[in-house]
Amino acid sequence: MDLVLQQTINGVTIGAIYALVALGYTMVYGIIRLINFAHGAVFMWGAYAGMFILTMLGGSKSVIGLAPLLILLFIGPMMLCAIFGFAMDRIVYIRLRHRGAGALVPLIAALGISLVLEISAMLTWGKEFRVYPKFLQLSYFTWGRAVLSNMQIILIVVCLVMMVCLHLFVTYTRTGKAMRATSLDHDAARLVGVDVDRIITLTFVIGSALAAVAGVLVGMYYGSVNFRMGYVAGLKAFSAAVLGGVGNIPGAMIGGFILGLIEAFGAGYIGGEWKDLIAFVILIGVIVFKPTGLLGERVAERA
Amino acid sequence: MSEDKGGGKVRKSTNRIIVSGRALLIVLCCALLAVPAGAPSANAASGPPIKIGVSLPLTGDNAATGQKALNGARLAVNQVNAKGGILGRQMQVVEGDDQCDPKQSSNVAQKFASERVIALASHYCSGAALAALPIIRESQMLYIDIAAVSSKLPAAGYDRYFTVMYNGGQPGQFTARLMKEKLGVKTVVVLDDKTPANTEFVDGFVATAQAQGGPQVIFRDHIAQGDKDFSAFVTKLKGSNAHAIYAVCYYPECGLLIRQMREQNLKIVFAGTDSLLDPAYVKIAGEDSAEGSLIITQPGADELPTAKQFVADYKKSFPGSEPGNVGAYSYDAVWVIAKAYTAVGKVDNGAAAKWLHGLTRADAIQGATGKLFWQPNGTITEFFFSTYRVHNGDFQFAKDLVMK
Repeated sequence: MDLVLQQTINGVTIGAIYALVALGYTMVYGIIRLINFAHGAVFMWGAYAGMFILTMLGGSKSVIGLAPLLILLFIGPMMLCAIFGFAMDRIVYIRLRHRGAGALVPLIAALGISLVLEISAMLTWGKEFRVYPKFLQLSYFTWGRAVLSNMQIILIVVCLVMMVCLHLFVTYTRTGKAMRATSLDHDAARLVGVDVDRIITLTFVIGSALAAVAGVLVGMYYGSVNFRMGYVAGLKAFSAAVLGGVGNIPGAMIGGFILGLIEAFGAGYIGGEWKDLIAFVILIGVIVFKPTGLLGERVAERA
Repeated sequence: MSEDKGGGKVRKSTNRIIVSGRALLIVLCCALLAVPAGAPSANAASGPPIKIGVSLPLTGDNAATGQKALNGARLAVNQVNAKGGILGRQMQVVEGDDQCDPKQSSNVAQKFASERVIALASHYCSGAALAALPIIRESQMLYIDIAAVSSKLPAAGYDRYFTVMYNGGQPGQFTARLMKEKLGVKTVVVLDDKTPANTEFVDGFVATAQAQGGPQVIFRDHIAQGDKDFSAFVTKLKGSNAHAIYAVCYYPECGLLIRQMREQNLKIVFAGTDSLLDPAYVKIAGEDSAEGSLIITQPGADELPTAKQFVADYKKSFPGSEPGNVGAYSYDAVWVIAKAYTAVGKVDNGAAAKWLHGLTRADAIQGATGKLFWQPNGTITEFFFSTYRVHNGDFQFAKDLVMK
């Protein structure tokens, strides 16, 4: 029983990361129907930026205290990645939008941007694995043989806080309302006075900042980063977004957690080499029987 | 507008004339060059250096190891040349960076073939070696394999192929014996990352464990290279109540695996292979997590009684570098080539391979890594393993685990 609990902890931990990265995919898709393949690379840059800050400031933990250090550790990468998101949209996607480029052109551009980000990370930080400086003394809570570390608690709590904040922002603020309006219909939104381009850029900025948070959390939790880490993580998060219903924010969160749990129980009870297979078979199954994903009604409404 | 277009057309056609003129010139140059190019190499038999191809990962994840092997080969070549070379001819290293990547590796082999490399002291990764083998075979080079250990290499049946390191699942066989005889392990879980050589290690382990009646293999699992999260596997491992794990993966995955094992408070015996003998393993795992993990590998130069002179020479030639556990093997590989040519009295790969095949324990080549003589398939007959233990972030030779 305690091992089932342990697998649940494993699944929720990895699922929280998937969910946070999936939000970036799903927000951008919801608003401009673009699968932003550069999102995984932004996530990777977030992880490197966190490493950089921690290496610079890790020694000063005793001076500035843990809480300010933690805040800096997240705010710095969020700002950097927000700039990436902003630049990505303002330099590339906005031009393609205004010239009425079809669906395929921005997709290829996204692949290009992801390569640029990946290779620039490789040239900046090197090809080898880089290690996150250790700054947090691990402590553990145990129930029988199940173990939950304070790092996992931080990871899950930070992810949940981010998701709740995003949900509140989108549901209750004026800008959030404008975002939802834009995702329903660009022209109608423009008619009622929404600055559609500004809202789209904002979506990229928010999604990228969330990816940065996920990147820092992954770096802290697993301890090592590499310039290729965004590729697999991005693919998984994108699957989570599709599973939950791409374009749907609560869907991405639920999709992330479900994918994490499927992986944990698949690897735990069937075999490690089947992990990805099981996850993707279930994904295909969901898409076949419910093409809009688990919570996908709103996508259907827009289509 | 129309003028512009006309101008463009004119320019284009002039371009075409220039281009065809240039093509003609290139063809002429080639023809002119081809004649003298053939001439010197025809009467070159006595003088020019004997080119030894050294294809190793010199950039990428395995670059540090590759550099050590390259140093070992360079040292041997310098020593051979200082003693007057082979039959009066100098040896020359032609290096190639295969990055452990099969595609790169076959490019390097092609380059060697076109530069008339006669013999190879090459390869660290089996994938890279397997990709190069057809080209090596076609140009009939003498191929001394430094550290690519897949049993598919000797199985290819190339009669000029020789290893200086163990081959196939032998480290796994040794580890199974070590667990039974020295560690008293009763139950074990085995894991590989599905790469060719690593799968063979685990195959060897399982076969030996069954044959000798222990340790009992509870289950076998696989991970994928590039994975980061092994928590589900760790939980399954915990549930199996195994005494030990034999994990055959490279340090990026194995480092994370042991870290996640220790994070789930699982403190069983951890045994891995030579890829973990790298400071990066300890960095990724964290010093606390890596503590006590066992690494079963071919002995490093420091532990080899036969390699004392080699280690001294290496440190003198490459200050600040350690030969590690590959330097001595590439060193021996070059010496094998030099001794074979000298023994047969000519640079003839067929005769050299035949001579090497004919060696027995009594007249074996005395190398830095031990007595060198071969099985009919080109794999080395005598080899040893040693065990290292991670302690305070360092790799310490485990004297208590020495086993014949």
